Amino acid sequence: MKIRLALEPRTSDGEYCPTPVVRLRVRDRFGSCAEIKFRVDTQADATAIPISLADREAIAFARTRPGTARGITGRIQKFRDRIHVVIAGKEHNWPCDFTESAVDPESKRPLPDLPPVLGRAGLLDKYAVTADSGYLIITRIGKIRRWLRRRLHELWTLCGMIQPEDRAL
Amino acid sequence: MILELTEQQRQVLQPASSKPIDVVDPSTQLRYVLLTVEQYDRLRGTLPSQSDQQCSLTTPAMAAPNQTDGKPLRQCVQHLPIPPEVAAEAERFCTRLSLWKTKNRREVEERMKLQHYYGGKWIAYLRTGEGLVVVAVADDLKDPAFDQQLSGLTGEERRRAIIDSPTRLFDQQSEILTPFPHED
Repeated sequence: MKIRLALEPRTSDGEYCPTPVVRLRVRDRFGSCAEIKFRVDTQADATAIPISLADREAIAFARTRPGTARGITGRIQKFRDRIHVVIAGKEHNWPCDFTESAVDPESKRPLPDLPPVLGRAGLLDKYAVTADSGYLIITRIGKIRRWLRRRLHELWTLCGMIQPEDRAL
Repeated sequence: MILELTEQQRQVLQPASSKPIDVVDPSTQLRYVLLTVEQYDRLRGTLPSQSDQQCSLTTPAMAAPNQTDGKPLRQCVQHLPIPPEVAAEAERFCTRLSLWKTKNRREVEERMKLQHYYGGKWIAYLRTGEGLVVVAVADDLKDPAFDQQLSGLTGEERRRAIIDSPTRLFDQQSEILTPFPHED
């Protein structure tokens, strides 16, 4: 299964830099699904949803695993739990950070919530994500496709076609 | 809802009742201006009504009013004018992705208008036969006005409403999202 979505257009400081976004159905506490738009971010460890959004969409989570999420833009408080995501009829149980708002270090006031982010944990076990020619391509990696890819990568490694990570491109 | 002044506040207001009074929330440092009803009515008379705004929206700031007296906004995105720079960007986008059908082009324009007028804000919208209809807008999800606007929807509409934060179409600032690469 391959899904192609146009990247969301965006121009930042005069440069065209479209954003990969995807709408996913997330199971709420009543058993129905809330449609949430995520920014696809392969640099994010886990998926993250602002608590204010989770509350409004009735997405249940426990506050039993508090922690801190750290990034190049600062630190925020979060609670780690799991979400049920439905993609093409298949239900996935992925880890998710439910995040508090960041606080402005000068005024100590809470900053507006960041949008939800789709991170790697869970996602990359089941799907391959590529940005190609203006489209985001999400491919489901089933058992057969995974087995085939592993064999292919073995072959490419033997042939020296895999770039060593410590060598510049 | 009507809040009653305390005796101390009444005394402070009394000598300067003809002038607006500055009020500050000590916990958030947000500043407010306290007006008499007469002053407020006079000021309101000089501002365009919501329907006037909907017919003459030209800038993102005007297009995304946060104050709707708690009522849902119900702004049909197709009815918003398309600024020339957005039309040109839609044209480029369609050419880049080889989207030649009129339906695709209309959808792209609608999406771009949503980004242009509401980019960087939190919105709730409905998908209708007339296209996307924005029913709530706020700078932040924690703004009580956002919930007030949502509470004006019917139960069915609330279930169908999609909460979204569109990216800005033309942004002067770069965005570094990636907030969670490491976990403590």
